[in-house]
This record gives sequence, structure tokens and C-alpha cells, in this order.
Amino acid sequence: MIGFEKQLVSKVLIFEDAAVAQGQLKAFCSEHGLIGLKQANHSAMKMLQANIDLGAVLISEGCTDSAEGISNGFELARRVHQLRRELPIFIRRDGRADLDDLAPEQRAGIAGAYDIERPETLKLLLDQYLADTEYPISLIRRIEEVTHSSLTALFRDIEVSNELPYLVKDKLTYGDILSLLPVESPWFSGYMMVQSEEQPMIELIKAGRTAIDGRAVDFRDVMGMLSEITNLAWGGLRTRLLALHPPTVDDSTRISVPITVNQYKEYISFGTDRSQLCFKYTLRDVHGQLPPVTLFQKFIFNIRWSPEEYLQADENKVEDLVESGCLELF
Amino acid sequence: MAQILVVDDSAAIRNEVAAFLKSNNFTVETAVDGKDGLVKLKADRAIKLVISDVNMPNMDGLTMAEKVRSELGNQTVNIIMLTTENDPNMKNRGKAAGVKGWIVKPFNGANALGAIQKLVAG
Repeated sequence: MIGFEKQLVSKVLIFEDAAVAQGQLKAFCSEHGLIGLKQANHSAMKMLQANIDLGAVLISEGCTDSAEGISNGFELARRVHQLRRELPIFIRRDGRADLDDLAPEQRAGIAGAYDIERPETLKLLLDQYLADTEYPISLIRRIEEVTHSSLTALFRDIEVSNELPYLVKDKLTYGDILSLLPVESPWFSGYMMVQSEEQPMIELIKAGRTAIDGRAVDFRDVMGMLSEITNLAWGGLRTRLLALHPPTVDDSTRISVPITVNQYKEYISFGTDRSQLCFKYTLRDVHGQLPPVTLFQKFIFNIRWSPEEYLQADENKVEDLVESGCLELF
Repeated sequence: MAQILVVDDSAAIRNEVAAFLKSNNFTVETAVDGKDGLVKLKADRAIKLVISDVNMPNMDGLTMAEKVRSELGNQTVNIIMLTTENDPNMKNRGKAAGVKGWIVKPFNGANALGAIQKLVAG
């Protein structure tokens, strides 16, 4: 599997009143690997709040929302931008794909305009704002495979499933707990973040689906599990990646940037606007007695990202690795 | 008196390894980091084998292994590392500290049982 993933999925929120354009957008999303979340009965702001792992927002200029007192798409764009500034907003215009005729206050927060009769204008915006980072296919597969086996090793009687990996622009956190681990190889440097909810994980531990004593479980045990998931997943991945690229980076040249968190807003910044690579896993009790646990695993390569070097490596080297769990005697 | 000391900052791994060893008739003591491991080793000279993580807070597993020899003067206890690390440089540091073996996590008891039995007996 050599090359970059060209069809990484991303979730986009769509505010569109015109039925014809809705159909055209549906076809566009299906063709370009987008999951289009259409506004249903909820107000626009509620839709926005309910979706925290978005790649972009698509708004038509004629879109209204009476529940919010919004009379046009530019006003809605302004409100969305106020709440989720990191999300690129693409506005659909009739017969044009620019913002040249708009006053500066109307353009504020809008990444660009498209004309759905010319789908290439929307594709251009997606490439520019969402598919701004290329991720090697085999790396994506490796992350899935290693994380999957880490989860399987840590939980009993649990079935692990995962959605197609996708690109996220959002910087909002999910759930109650998250772990952060610096991840580094000769060709990338950044963070792996794993997020989950406390209560469903507590239920798993209480039911004896982990090695933790289930008699007096609290949030600390959940944090311990999340820490071990993170540790195992990165450990397995690092082993495989470093087999391809032995480390050469001198520690003294290591660069780091502060990670900032607004706990009240549930917002985390890594100092970069690069699209994050997101994996969503679900742990389901095989006996169907316990609530499912959702885990979001995100990779934020905020310091260094040179995947071309990865693609030049000899993939076969990875096959020489010692199998995990085996004891190598000295 | 314990035969095997399991050192890991993760309760899940500590419990998993300890439960496996107990189910195979070993007596087991646990420690939460290298510092705690040294305390337990000092107090119980009957420990024949240490199974330790590498990356731990307070004191890492390799430093603990070095101190077992240099500070405790215990030349007989066998040490194996159970870790996500697979870096040859780290393994070499372990060898120099007298570490006898290396297991890459996740722990698979069945794969390691024979060698563990030998190290405890020896």
C-alpha cells in the first residue's frame, strides 16, 4: 500500500434550504468521501453543538433559521464562525463562486464561496481547507490495526469496531476524559490524543471486563485505562515505525509548543490549523448487557510532518519484528 | 514470601500479569514504580524474578534494574522487562544492567510461561 489517502472521509454540516441543491450536494458528498450531516428539525446552533468532530460547514446564502432569528446564510455563517472559528465555512451562491460583491462584514468568517452547478469550485475549497494534510494509507491502516489489537488485549468479552478514519478541523474535546502523549519519529512530531466517556467505561470495569478490580471503581481507574490504551497503541505503532526509520533526531534539537486547554469551552489547541487525523472506535459488550464505549483517537502533527520519507521506506522491514508478547531472552 | 515481583504503574497491567502468574501457582508481589520496586525487593529477599515495565513515573524500570545490582547489591534476582519499548539501545542498556529478557506488550503469558518458570527455578 504505497501512496497517500485521497479519499479520507470528513464530516460536514450542511445548511441548505433548496431541494435541488440538497440533491446535488448529496451526490457531491458521496463522490468525494464526505459525510454530509443535513439540518433536520433542530435549530442550526443545536446542530452545531451536537457535532464536535466536523471538517467544514456548508451554508447556502439563502438559508434561514426562524428558530434562531437568522434571515440569510451570511448571518448564519457569522454565528457559526463566532462559535467554531476553526471550522472552514463554504457558502453556496447562485451563479457565482466568489465573495467579491460582499461587504467586508458579510465576508467575515467565510473561507470561500462555491457554485454547486460547478462542483469543481467546492472541490477546490475542500482541497485547500480540509484536505490540507496528506496521510499515507499504510500509516492509517497500521494505526487502526495496532490500536485495535491494543484494545482487544486490554478488554475481555468486548467487540471492537471502528469507523473509517476521517479528517477533523474541530478543536472541541469529546467526553469526560482525555489522554495526551507526545508522538515522534524521524519524520513526524506531534501528539496522540485519546478521548472517552467516564460512565460507560466504569460499567465495563465494574463488570470485570478489564484486569482492574471492579469492586471500588472510580474515575481514577478510567484514567488509568485510558492511559494504558494510549501507551499500548503508541508503543505498538512506534515499534513498527522505528523499524522502518531508526531514530536519528538529536534530542537537543527537539522543539515543543504549549498545548492550551479551555476547560469551560471544552476546547484544546495544539497551535496548528492542520487537519487532525481522527479514528473512532466503539467497544461493545459481546453479551449485550453493557453500554457501548466510544473512543476518539486523534493525531495532531503540530511540529513536523514529512510523510514522503515514510513512503520511501522498505515496508518489508516491519515483518521482521519480534511478535508482541514473546519473551526475548538475553 | 513472594517469588515474583511485578512492577508497573498501570493497575490494569499489574493485575493482569499478577493474576496470570497466580493462576500458574507463583506467589506474587506488586509495585507501582521503580522506586516502590526497590523497596519491595529490599524487604523480600526471597523474590526470584522481577517483571518490570520500563516507562514509569518516579523511577523507570531500567534505572531500577541498575540500582538492584549497584545499590541493593542483589546479583541473583532475575529481571525481565515488560514494555511497549522495542528500541535496541534500550535493550542494550537493559543487558548491561543484567536484565535477562524483554517482552513487548501486550502481555501474552502463554508465550512467556516456560521461560518465567525457568528463571524462577534457576
